[in-house]
Amino acid sequence: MARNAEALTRIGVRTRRRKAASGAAISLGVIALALVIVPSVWIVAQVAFKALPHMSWSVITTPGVGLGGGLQNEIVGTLLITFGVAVVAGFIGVMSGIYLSQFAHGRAASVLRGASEVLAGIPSIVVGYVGYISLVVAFHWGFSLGAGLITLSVMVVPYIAKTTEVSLRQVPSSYVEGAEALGLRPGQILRTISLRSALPGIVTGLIVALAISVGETAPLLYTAGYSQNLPHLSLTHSPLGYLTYAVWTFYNEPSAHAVQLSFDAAFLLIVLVLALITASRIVVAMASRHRESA
Amino acid sequence: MTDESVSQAAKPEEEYMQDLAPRPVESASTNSTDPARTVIEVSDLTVGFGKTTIISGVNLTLTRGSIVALIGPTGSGKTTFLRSLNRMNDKVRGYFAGGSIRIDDQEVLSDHIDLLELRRRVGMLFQRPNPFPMSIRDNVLAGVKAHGLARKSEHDRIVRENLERVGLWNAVSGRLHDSPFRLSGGQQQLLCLARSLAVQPEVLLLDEPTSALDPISVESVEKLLADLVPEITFIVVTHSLAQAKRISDHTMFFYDGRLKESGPTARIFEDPQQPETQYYVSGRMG
Repeated sequence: MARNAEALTRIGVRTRRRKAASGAAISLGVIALALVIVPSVWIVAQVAFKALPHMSWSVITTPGVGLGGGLQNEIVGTLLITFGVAVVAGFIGVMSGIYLSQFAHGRAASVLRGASEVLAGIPSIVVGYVGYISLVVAFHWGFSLGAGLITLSVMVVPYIAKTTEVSLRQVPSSYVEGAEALGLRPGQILRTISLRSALPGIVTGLIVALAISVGETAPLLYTAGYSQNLPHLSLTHSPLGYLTYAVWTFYNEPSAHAVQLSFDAAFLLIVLVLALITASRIVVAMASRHRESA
Repeated sequence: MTDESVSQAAKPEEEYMQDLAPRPVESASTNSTDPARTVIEVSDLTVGFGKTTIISGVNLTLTRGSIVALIGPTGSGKTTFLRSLNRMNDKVRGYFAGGSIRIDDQEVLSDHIDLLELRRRVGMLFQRPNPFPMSIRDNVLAGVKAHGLARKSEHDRIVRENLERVGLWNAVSGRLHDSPFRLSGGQQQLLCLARSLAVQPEVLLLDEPTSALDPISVESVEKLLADLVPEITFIVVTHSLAQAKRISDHTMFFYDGRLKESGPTARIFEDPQQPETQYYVSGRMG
């Protein structure tokens, strides 16, 4: 009897201890989650509160005039640069990722991978400076769309290459083996099996890279310069505005309108990034229709 | 081992075999010299990786339109041998092969062979079903499209024909555009078989094709092989002695990288000549 009761108490103690540990773990999880969610919601809310009351169509539809006007030139500039980065960095990055995952062996592969990692680790302002002395000065391109988007592309190519390589490596070998046994050519296997099943990963990487480049300021200050005119479609000698410039510069201007524009620009940047993330989610959902985990 | 235990075990399988589509039983032997009936001829085959020799001195002749079972303990070289027949070992580091494998009088080990065409003619089914991450319909058509075997207008017919051949049509005809991964494991394996059949192979290599399947699916796959056999030669690696007995015309026993014994299945199981074969088929050696 006594021994029974003792055993029961022991079980009770153990249960209580287990529940306490479980409770502590859950609390830590909740705290960690809060640390992620609260700042992002806080930032979005803060920017929205500051921006929305003054937001009007004219902000989007008129270019800047002195310290006033709107943000049309910056919006078009950011979209142009982002599109350019998507094309240039997307192409080079995806191709490098394919090469690294499928064809690179031995020394060539390790040199390329190492170089890519070094490039990824270089601070953006240094990349911007190198872009300035090479493209803007040495190539005589001047502050321009071309110099800006190539500098940004150099920054994000390692990221795109890495995500492409990893996604392609994660394609189950049984797919590839099955395709080989069916007598498909290596190119056909890559196109119809590997790339297709790696697509969600590749697209996600690409879009995150674009989101990063949308938010960059330093490399563009050095290479794209600034202009209040609407950008024209010329790759050289075409300084242009972009939203991060407005956020960074207008905030320190004495004019209240300029400070407002700075918040408007920040808000538009956040909307743009959210739109990119949403787009990537949609692409992933569409491409995952026939996946194993579906 | 006693003869009695073997014949008792064999009895239900005999009945099962009678259920299957009857096929002309030509008492083909592995020593058949009729060249028209020889589909694969292997002489003095040696295969290895790096410094390790996996199989050596394998000589055999396979008769067209038969089911051949490759049995033997784990590590005996069955799978390596099977994968040599369609050169799937090529990409393995350090792979080397000596001797000769002739399929339809074409040297498989030659550098000049059209590997893609070889693999169209000599298809393969794997241990775990491996449908591609595309719709059921596209799975059946994957090889057909890659080899340019048919015009687009014929695709519907090809899909239907091959799914019917494997008995999957009724189950999937309403969801040809769905993911294959929602099918059961057995259905997925049948789909893979349909995909292989669609490119009209002469030989199909099966690497433990039913070891990941439930008993009912195993039965349907085995029945299918029996139905398809006059057209296609099957070479099946199996760890199930019962399966080898049920489905194969010929059995080849691999042991320690060598083809220890081969012959008509009934003889291998009832009257094995080599002591190792005797041990293995009586279940005393895994």
